[in-house]
This record gives sequence, structure tokens and C-alpha cells, in this order.
Amino acid sequence: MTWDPLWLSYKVALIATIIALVIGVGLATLLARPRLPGRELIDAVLTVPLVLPPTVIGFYLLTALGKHSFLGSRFEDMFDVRLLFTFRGCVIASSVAALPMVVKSARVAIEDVDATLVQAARTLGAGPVRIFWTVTLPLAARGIMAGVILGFARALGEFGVTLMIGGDIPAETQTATLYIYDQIMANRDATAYGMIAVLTATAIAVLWAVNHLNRRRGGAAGH
Amino acid sequence: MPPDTDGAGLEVQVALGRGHGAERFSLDVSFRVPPGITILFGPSGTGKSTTLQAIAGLLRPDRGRIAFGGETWFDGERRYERPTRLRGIAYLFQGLALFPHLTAVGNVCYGISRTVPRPERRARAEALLERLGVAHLARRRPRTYSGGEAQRVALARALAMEPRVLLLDEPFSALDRDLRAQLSADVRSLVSERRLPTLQVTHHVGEARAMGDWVLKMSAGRIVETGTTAILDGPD
Repeated sequence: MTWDPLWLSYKVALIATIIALVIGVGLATLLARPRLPGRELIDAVLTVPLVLPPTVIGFYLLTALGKHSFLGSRFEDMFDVRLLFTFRGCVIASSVAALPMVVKSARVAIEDVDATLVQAARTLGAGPVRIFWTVTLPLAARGIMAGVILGFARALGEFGVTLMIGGDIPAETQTATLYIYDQIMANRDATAYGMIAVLTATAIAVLWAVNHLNRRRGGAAGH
Repeated sequence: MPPDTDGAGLEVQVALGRGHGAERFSLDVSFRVPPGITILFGPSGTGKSTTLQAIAGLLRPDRGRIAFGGETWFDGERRYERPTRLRGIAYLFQGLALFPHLTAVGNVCYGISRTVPRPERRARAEALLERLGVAHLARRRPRTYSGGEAQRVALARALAMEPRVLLLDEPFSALDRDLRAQLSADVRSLVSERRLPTLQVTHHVGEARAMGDWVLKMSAGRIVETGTTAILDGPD
């Protein structure tokens, strides 16, 4: 057996989580603005990957990012790289999976920041950018972190979309979840046991960490 | 007329309405805040805090004009609004609003202009904490402070930014009598040293009497009486 698919999975999940963190916190900051028009609709669109069948998401991404699509062809022209059926495709699939987790948690965490503290910062001469970095972000960090960890777990467990736009190419886009599937379909269950154990342990560790963060956050809010 | 009207104060003319029907609340006030302490006195729900928020630019009035010296902060007719951060207002919030993730020095430094070099900012913050008797909290975070200590740190933070106007929203409501008397005296001396136009909201007669140079009595969104603290004497 090989451990390569597992390393690939971790690498994909890590990069996808960083992408989801940056985009997700940005979007959550926007969504936390009470006066943003249509914000519940935007929230719904961003959350839809949680409930949409992976094949449907996969179809959208294939359509949007394919060689002959508007986005896909522009990207290929600009950077001379393909997105579909490559490592990048896997990262995109996992980012889409992780994004709703980050956006949801980050939005709640940002909205939970006491509005008076933001007002206090304004009276003390801070503009919106400084307030974001020095008040909102540090106070929402714990909640954002919980979302990021969940997003990482979700990215690591991504299967359906990765299969559709990654292509399950051994040593290239065959992540741990796809490897396990292939081994079991080929009646080689035993070669998948190690990876099954590691993925299970990761999932439990992640949930433990998130619970821990949420508990600490609840405690801190009591002051 | 209020004392000391040499034009160095804050001029406020604010009108706004919120809600509908029986829930309707309207505010319509016009007054000056000269250097020294002006008390905005009245029962809760009369629009005292709303007035402070309008002055600070945390809330937009429907009509009116707010100016400080020759500088316009709000002009309803010209639809002009000067951003809060440029008004130079120190605002002591009712809940104090200390940043829970920063130490006392961090809190006090927050409002000091960042054109001042960092060591100097720290030194200034430490000096103010010392002056207010809470130097020992410099490296500690707000959740470990007592009520009076938190109040002093908040006051230090408000003054460190070298404000042009000080707004105090029920600053001592959570404190016992001794502490209240002590802090009132501190605020009075700090304000008179700086000749700082100060507007203090309170519904507490004793506090108004102890603190105020000039009193604006408010009821149902209007100023119903102005004068020296003598207007607080009587059946109230």
C-alpha cells in the first residue's frame, strides 16, 4: 500500500482551507453588515454547497472551469495551466466544500462582537480597516478558528466533487477518499485500513478541537 | 446663559424621530456645551444617550446642526456629516466598552494618534494610568479589574487621545457611593485642568449636583429647564 494519497489529501485540504479562510472571512465581514442589500440571499448561495448533491456542484464547476468555458479558457490563457483534472481541480473542489463552514462560523463570530466596542474604537479615532484588524478580528478569532478547523475536516473528507473535477488520477489527483473507494471496489479492503484509521482519528480530533474552542468562547463571553 | 461662553464650546441642535404610533419617540434639543461640566439630567428614556450618540456621530439625526468651534460636525441641510473618528470626542460609554483583548496600556494607547512614536504612546498611557491610580493594571486585561478600576482605565483611555470634547454616559452608575465621590472629584479636576467641554448624562440627582457647572433638564426628548445646579433642588 502507499500513503501518497493521504499526503496529497492533507496538502489539498491545507491549501483549500487557507483559500476558504481568506475568502470566507472577507465574505463574512460583508454579510455581517446589517445594511447589505440581499444579504440573506447571498448567504444562502454561499451555503448551498452544504446541501447540494456533489454531482450537481461538480457539474457546475465542470461547466464553469472547462477548457471551453469563459472562466476556464481565460485562466488557461493567462497562466497557461489547466484547472480540471489536476491538483488545482482538487483544491478548488475542497475549497468549495470548506467555504460554507468558514463563512457560517465567521459571520456568527463577527456579529457576536459587541457593537459598543466598535463604536468605542470609532470615537478613539480608528477607521473601518483599523477596527477590523484590531477589534473585530481578534475578538472573532476563536469562532473563525472553529469554522476553519471544520472547513479543513470537510475539505479533507471531500469525495464527490473531487472525483468529478479532479478525475481520480493515481499519484496526481487521487486523494485518500478516492483511494479508499478504489481499493474497496477492487476488493482490496486491507490496503485501505490504515488510511481509514487516520481519517477517522483526524475527524474525531477536529470535533474535539472545535468543541474545546466553542466552550472557551462561551466562557469568555460571560465576562 | 451658561457660564464662560467665549465660543470655545460645542453647539448642538439635534432633531430626530424614531418609531411609529404609541412607540413614537422624538428628540428635539438645542444647547451649548462650554468648557466645564454640563449635565444632561433626566429620567431614563428621555433621549439623553441618543443625544450623546448624535454628537459623537454614532447616530445620524434627521435635522439640525452640530458644530465645535468653527468646525461643522453635522449639517442636516447640507447633508454633511463629519466622521466620528475625526471629531476628537472622548466617549465614556455606560458599559465602559474596554477592549477585552487588550491590556490597560493597550486600551489607553488605542486612542493616541499613531503619528506619536510607540514608546512615547506607551509612556503617555502609563503616566495617565499612574495619575488615575491604576498603574498596577498596566499589563492586565479588563476582566480582572474591579468596577472602580475599570472606570479609571476607561477614563484614562478617554483622556489619552487628547479629546476636544468629553462625553460621559452615566459614568458612575455601577459604583457605590464612596467610589462615586472619589471618581467624580477626579473627573472634575481632570476636566478643569484641560478646560474640556464636557457633557455628562445622568439620572442621579446627587451625581448631577456634585459634578455639574451647568444643568440641562430633559424630559420626553425636550430640554425643559436650564440653569445652575440649583434647579435640581426641590421636590425631585
